[in-house]
Amino acid sequence: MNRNVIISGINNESLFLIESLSKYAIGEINFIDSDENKVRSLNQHQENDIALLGNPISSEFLEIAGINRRDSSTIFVAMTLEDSVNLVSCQIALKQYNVDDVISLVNNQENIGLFHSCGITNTIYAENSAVELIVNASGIILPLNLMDINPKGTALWSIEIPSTSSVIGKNLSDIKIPFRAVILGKVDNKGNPYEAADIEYIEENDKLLIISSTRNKDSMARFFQGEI
Amino acid sequence: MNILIIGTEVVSKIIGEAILNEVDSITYVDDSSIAYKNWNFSNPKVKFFGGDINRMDTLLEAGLDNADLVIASTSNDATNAFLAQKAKINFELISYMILQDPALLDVYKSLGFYVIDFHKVDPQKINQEIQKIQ
Repeated sequence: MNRNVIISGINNESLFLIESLSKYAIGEINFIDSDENKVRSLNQHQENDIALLGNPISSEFLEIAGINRRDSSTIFVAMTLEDSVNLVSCQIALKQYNVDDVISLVNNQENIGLFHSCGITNTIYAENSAVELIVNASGIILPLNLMDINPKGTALWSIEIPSTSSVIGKNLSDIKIPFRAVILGKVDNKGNPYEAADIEYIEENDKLLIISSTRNKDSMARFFQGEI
Repeated sequence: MNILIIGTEVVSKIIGEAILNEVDSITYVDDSSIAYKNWNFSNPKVKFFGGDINRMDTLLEAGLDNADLVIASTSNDATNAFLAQKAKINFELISYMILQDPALLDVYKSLGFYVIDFHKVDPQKINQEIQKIQ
């Protein structure tokens, strides 16, 4: 079966995306956007027009873009800067056109759970790549989401304690966490697991296992990995 | 019953007026208060909260946590569908979305959401549904 890719939303990475995807010969790639200047600008860089102007949550327009081709199976990618547009366009692709391969950019981290609850599990979090790469390069490993627990954004997190952390040497009972969180235990730098009640004090390179909301990710990083 | 209506379109006003006698409070939330002020609502049960409706902080400050029912009635279908789903899934609230595009109406009806057709707002029917929920 042939494949065609529809990418909703034109941005600075679109040209890079075209170049990268063309190496894999996936099939025809079309961009759609409601901004005339972006559409014109992208088409100027191409031999043939590949960008179409229209509303990405309009079924009629998505059909023009090729979402329901008989001879081809569509991969739909929502890349706009508005989570509402991305969610709705992906839902149209999923529910109205039974597109199996739907991928979405999620611009606001707190919306990741919502996308997953709505069946859009192939998500890219906008800030992940750049911010995490830079912060990780600085030696701090950001809180890692091990598992989503419910659609409200509660998740199980692993947080590595860096040498500069102010919580090193403290007992859990001495720590007052300024947001809602439950510490389940830790894994020390030798890989030994401890229940929360058995943790005498927190050491460098410990990995704390914490249940908290996705909203608290930055607070967790500041509290456990920064200098309080 | 506390109602949060997101958006101050004409349809938001029609819905608010239709259900006012059946509910304890109605809070309108929108980026701009211009339309709300022009409505001249004098009932103490009705209030307005201003802020960016795309920010969860705004909706929480407007009373999303204490609302029993949310009606997303901005002029933008994507915003309405998004906020109504967020209220239902993240906050387990009963939520309505006002939609203009007939294709979207079908999609969200089939997903089991409460959907109101922008072009066929029936105040009496909305009032009856509110009574049923209560």
